[in-house]
Formats: sequence, structure tokens, C-alpha cells
Amino acid sequence: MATSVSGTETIVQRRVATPEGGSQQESPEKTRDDSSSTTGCLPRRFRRGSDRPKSRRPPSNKWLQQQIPACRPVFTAKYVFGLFIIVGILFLILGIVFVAATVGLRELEVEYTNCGPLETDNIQASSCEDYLRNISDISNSNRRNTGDCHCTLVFEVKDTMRYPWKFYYALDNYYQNHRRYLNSWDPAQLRGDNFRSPDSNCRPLVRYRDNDNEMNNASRLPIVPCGIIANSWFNDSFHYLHNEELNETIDLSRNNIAWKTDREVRFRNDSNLAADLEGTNRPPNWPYNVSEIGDGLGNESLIVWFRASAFPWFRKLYAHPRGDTDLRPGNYSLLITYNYPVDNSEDVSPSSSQSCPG
Amino acid sequence: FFTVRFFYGVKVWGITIAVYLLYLIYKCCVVLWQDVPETIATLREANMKVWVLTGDKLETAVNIGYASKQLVGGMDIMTISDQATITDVQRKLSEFCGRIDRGTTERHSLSFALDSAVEKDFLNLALSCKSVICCRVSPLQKAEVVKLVRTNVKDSITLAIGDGANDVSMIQAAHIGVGISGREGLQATLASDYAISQFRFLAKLLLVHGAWNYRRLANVILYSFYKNICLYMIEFWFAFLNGFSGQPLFERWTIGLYNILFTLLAPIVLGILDQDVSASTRLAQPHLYKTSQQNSAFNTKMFWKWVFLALFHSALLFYAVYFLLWHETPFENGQVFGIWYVGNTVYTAVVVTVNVKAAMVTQYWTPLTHFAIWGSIAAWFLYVLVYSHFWPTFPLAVEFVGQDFKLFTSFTFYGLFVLAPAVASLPEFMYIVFQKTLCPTSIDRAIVADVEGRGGKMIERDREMGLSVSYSVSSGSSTYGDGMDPGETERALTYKHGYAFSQEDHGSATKGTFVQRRDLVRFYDTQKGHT
Repeated sequence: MATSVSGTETIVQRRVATPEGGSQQESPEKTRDDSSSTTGCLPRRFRRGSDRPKSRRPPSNKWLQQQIPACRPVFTAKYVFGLFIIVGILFLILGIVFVAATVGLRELEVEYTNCGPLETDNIQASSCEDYLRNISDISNSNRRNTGDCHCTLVFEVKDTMRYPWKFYYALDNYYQNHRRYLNSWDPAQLRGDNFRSPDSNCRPLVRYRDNDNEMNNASRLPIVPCGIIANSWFNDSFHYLHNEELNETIDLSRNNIAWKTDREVRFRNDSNLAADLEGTNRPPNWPYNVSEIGDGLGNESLIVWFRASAFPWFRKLYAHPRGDTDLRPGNYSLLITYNYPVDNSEDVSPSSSQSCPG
Repeated sequence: FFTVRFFYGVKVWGITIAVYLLYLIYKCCVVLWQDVPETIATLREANMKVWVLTGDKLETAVNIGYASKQLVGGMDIMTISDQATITDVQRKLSEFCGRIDRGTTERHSLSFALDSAVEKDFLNLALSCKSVICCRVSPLQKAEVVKLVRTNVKDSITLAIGDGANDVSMIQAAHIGVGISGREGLQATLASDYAISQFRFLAKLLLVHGAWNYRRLANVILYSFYKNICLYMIEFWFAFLNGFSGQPLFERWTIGLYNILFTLLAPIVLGILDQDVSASTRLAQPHLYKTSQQNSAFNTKMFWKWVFLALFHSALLFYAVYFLLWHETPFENGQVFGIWYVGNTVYTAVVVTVNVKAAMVTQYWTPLTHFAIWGSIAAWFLYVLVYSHFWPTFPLAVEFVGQDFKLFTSFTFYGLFVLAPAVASLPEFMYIVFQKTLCPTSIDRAIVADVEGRGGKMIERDREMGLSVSYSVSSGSSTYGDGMDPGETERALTYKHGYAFSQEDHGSATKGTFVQRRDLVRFYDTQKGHT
């Protein structure tokens, strides 16, 4: 856009003939006044001092006269053309950079909701999914035995995924961005404070007693960590990837999957966690206490889960591969401990899948 | 510009009327202020009609009319005066109405004409004339004339200007009342909407400040609607993805500070500093005033245009970010982001887009404008930087922890921050460029003329009344205004000058000068030598 400095615009006005008599104001606020009048028939020098009218001119400067130096843009084609070309070239470069950055990305997504065959002998079910559903029907408690059901997922990798590749799990139709879900946590608890009095945002998962048939709130113990987000923590485990042909096993490393600021600021592990947890309860769906999981409140998988997603389908980083191997093409089998039930509850029916983008 | 002049029995040539939208009624003091004819001529060109209501007698009013170029030689002048009864007035009116649009009439028996039986006829006649002068008008009648025009003429805006206490009722009856302070005290100014100190400032008041402020006000209002719709509609689009649970995409205080920190300065600057055409050009080309009269900047259509633009921007910004980020893995180390990262990215795009829209609207880039617009965007980045470190020192903003680091180290974020507003602004920008190149309005042409230094400047006029009035015009874009073409001006003005005298102590009043009698006497002291 072309500009032109309009500079100090002054309005060419005729000279003001200074009048005699005090009642007429001389307020040339909109003019540039030339006070030496040559057209009056009584030249200024003739007037006595006391007759000289006091100037009532209001203050005047560039700001008050709205004459601040400024540029005026013009949007006609001939002025805009150059800008257009420049911006076009810049964006073209930006676009090329974007495309180049993404052209090498590869993704593989495999669904394992009904993964089988089961590796566990003493379980008579077609899939872990059915097994988990049956358990909760039988036991009438929210506690599920975990670690019972293992299954093997076999899938094929077509293209090489160069190191560094990452291992994610994905959930679909899972509304972590629901308002009540998102509000249902206590950030102070995650830093190790406030175990005894969880935030009321965590309702209804503020206090809990196992096998609770009473309505007495006082006998319930406070939950650490409280809230739905903690209670719905994803607890499937993926153990290793095994390539039959190449006979190599890739282990998964669960370090460095959470944001650094989360690990350092938002989640703080207490050194005395087990003792501090006296008089509190674990969340209903958890088989064990916070102190019994690796790293306590600093468990990176927990931290990753707490970083709630914006959309009703999401991936969360599960692990990096241990070592710096590429994922070469071939058939892989993955051992999964299937703990996370995919419910058909009121509004959520997730299907889970596992994916490895490059 | 329309004077009705009544001159008993004398008929001079008439001139066809102009379309009018604004009536300007002023009370002409005995002594003319400075530059009255020029001012009136300017206002006439700006598509306004000027009526004179004066308390003086007929002859004085006639003289004033000529002096202020309300009347020009060559005009057909019709006078209604000395009518004894209503019926007489009626008869006279109907007589003149027969020769409609060819006359100027002035009325003396105003009270008769304002009677409800006759007022419509009177008004019709008056409206069909080029200029109107009413003499011997009492203050009440002045107000009644104004009200007559105001209530009966659809879509008219009336402005009354006067300087004395007897003008107060008229000033208050009109839509806009302007008081001139000074000679007769401050009563008029105390009752008025605007106070000026000289009559000639009226031209600048209307043509420059009036037009500027109309545009500024329109822009501020429309922009305020636009920016808020743009942001909050994003919550609407997000609702489809969060199960309609009412979860906002942005953090609480970020939303709250939108209007206070990030988009506050832009409308302020639009409303205070913005100028489209420079003052000198606006005064030199009064026909530019027509756009303000025609409600071109603020009407229903403009409103819906801005609202539609807001909806379009909000949808585009949200879905652009959505499609880019729905895989949720923008980081080199593979870590996922969450809802707050997405929210901040969208919010950044919104703040930038909204401020870029302000940048496209403003036509006058002062340093303050630059600070307001780019500074607002910078304020958002500063805010993210600071706000991300609030928790846990302050019990606030736990969601923001780590956002600054993640946002500012992410290439996707920077790409979106540049691309999303560009894509959002591009269609409108193209439209503006096409419109200003291919079918520019008179304002557009005037702005271009300004920028290229061709803006019309008023050349020194000849001090002799009405002899040669010349304007420098920029090519092709200005006219002399309706109703008076150049040839007519020359012819009309050559043989009638007006001088108004009075008996008051203010002394004789030729145009512009003003001398007290005692000084006049003392000046010519024959005992002393001339100095």
C-alpha cells in the first residue's frame, strides 16, 4: 500500500481582521491566524494597550488540531501490487517449508479394541473386552483386577519409520473436552498439597469408601487424586514389539513423554507419599494407590493423561522406542495388557487403537 | 441552499431547485460576520438548504440576503408580506404555487402561514424554492418554522444556528443546534449542542468534523460488534466438538481480557484519530459531504456485512486451526498438546485477525495507530509470556503453565499465526482493492487525490463580494454542487451586492471590519499628524 505523508495540513484561510471591542472573541482555533491585519482601518499599533483585546485563543498544537503526521494508505491496484507480490512470494516460501516438513511423515494406526488371541489361559472369553465387561457385572464393585488379560496384536508395517518414531495410543469418541470432565480435578493435590480436602470441583468423586452402601458422607475417605480425570486414567499397557522375521524386539521407554513444565511445576512428587496418604482413598477405578505406581504423582503416564485433549478423538504419547532403531517393514506382534474397558456408558463409547507415526 | 425571499411586487428570475436533505437555518445578525457568503456557498455545495430567519425588517433582510449570497441577481423572488388574514396568505401561496419551482418567496406574515390550515402549502412552496428568507420573525416563530420542517419533511435533519437569546428556542427545536458565542453573550451557546465562535466555522464543523466523526462513530460501533462476534462464535463452533457441554476453548481470564487488553486500543484509535479525506480537501470539495447525508457508513446493510464477516472469520479461524491440529502432535519430541494449546493458537489467530481488520479500516496511520494495532498483538504475546508463570505463585491460571514455552517453540504455531489471519483477511482485502480500483466512490477518489497532493485547496477569494469565486478542483471529481453552475454564478453575482447597515452602536458594518464610533472619531484627529 502506498503511503503519502500528509504532513502538517494547514488550511489556507483568509486573514482574520481583528475586531475592536472586547465582546467578540478571537478564537481562531481552526485557522492559522495572521494577526497583523492590513485591512482594518485602525492599524493595530494605534490601539491603546488597554484596548488591545486579550487573546482568548484556545491552546493549539498538532494533537488538538488533528494534524498529527500520518500516512494515508491507498488501496488501489497500482499501489498494492508490489505488496501483493512480496507477500505472495513469502507465503509461497512458507508453504514450501510446510510441505517439506510434512512430506516425510508417516503414520500407522491399528485398532485393537477386540484384540485377540488371548495370551492368558485361564480366561474364557473371546476378547479382553468381553472379559472386562463380565467382571464388572459379577463383582459389583468398581475395582477391576488388572493385569489379567493379555492379548497379542499382529500388524504389518509397510514403510520404514525412521528414528525418531513414537508410539501413541488413540481413543475415539472420548470427550475429554467436556466441561464437567475438564473441571473435575484438583491441581493442588497433584502438587502434593490438599490431600485431605479435595476441591469440590471433583464431585462426585471427592470421597469414597469401598463397598459403600451408606449415604454417610463423613465416613468416606477423601480421594487422592480426586476427580473424573484421575479416575478415568488409561491403564492399558503395551510391552514390546516383536518382529518375527528379523527376530528383534523393540522395547518401549516411558520416559520423557510428558511436558517438562508439567513434570516440574504442575505435578510434584512427595518423598513421603505413602505416609501422607494415610486416611485417604484411591479413586474408585484404581486398583492401587498413587504411592504404589511408579514415581507416584510424577508418573509421566498420569501426567500425559491429565493433558486433556481439545477434540473428542485424540492420541496420547505412550512411549518412545528404547534404543535408536528404525521401525523396519515387516510383521510385528505387540503384547498388550488390556485393562481399559470400552464402555457403552451414557455418552462415551470409545474404541481404542494404537498407532505409530514417524 | 434555499432562500425564500419575498419582495413585494417584484419578480426576478428563478432558478431551479436542488435536491436537499438538510436545511440550514440561521439567524442573520445585522452585522455580517466574516466569510458568511463563502460559508453559505460551501454549505450549499454540500447539498444543504439554507433558510434565513431574521428579526429585521424586510429591506434589511433583503440586503442581508444579497450580502450573504442567499439571493443572487437573476433569481425569481416572491414575497409574501403584509397579508391581513389567513385567506389572503392562502391565496398568495396558491398563486405562487401555480408557478412552482420557479420562485423564491419570502414571508412576512409568518404567523398566518404557520397556521395549520396553511402550513402545508407554505411548506411545499418553501421547499420548492431555492432559498428562503423570513424577516421580522419572533423567537417563537423561528422555532415553529424549524418544527414545521422537521416534522413534515421526511428524513430531514435540521440545524439551527444563532447567536442570541432569541435564537434559543430555534436552536432547541432543531435536530442540531449550534450557538455562536461572543457578541451577544452566551445564551445561545448554553442551549446548543455545539458552540462555535464564528459563523464561518460552521463549514468546518459540518464538512470536516461532522463527516469525520460520522465515519469514526460508524466504524467504532461496527468494529465492536465484529470483534466480539468473531471471538465468541468460536465457542459456538467448538460446541459441536465438546458435546455442547459449554466448555470454552479459552481460559477464563484470557476471554475476560480480550476487550480490555488486546482489542481495546484499536477501536479507540479508530474513533479518535481516523481521518479519511483531509480537512482541506473536504472543505474544498463540499460535495463529499453527501456520503454522510446518505447514511452510507452506517446502515442496515453495512451492519449485516460486518456481522457476516465476523461469522466468516470465526469459522475460518477455528476450522483452520482445527484441521491443522486435529492430529494433536505438533511437537518435535512427539508430545501431545491439549485443549489449552489449541485454544491459545486460535486466540492468537483471532487477536491478529481482528487487529488486521482494524488496520484495513483505518485510513490515517499515526504513530499512535501503529502502537495501538501492532501493540495489541504484541500485548497478547507478552501476556502469554507472563501469564504462564502465574501458577502456583498465584492461585490462578493453572491451565497456562508451560503454554508460553510450547507455543513459542512450535513452528506450527508461528505458521498459523501468520497464515490464518492472512487467509481470513485476504478475500476482503481483494474486494477492497478491486472496488477502489474499478469503481471508486468520490471519497476514494478524494483520498487518492490527497495522497498524491492534488487535494483541492481553497484559493484566496476575492474580497469583493461575489465577484469571482474560484476553487481549484482535482480532475474530474468535484463539481460546483447542485443548483448553481459556473456560468450562472458569474452572471448572477455580477450585479447585485449587498450591504447591511444598522443603527446600533457597533458601528457601520461593511464586510468584515468592525470599528467603534469613538475610535473612528479619534483616529481622524486633525490636530495630530497622520501616523
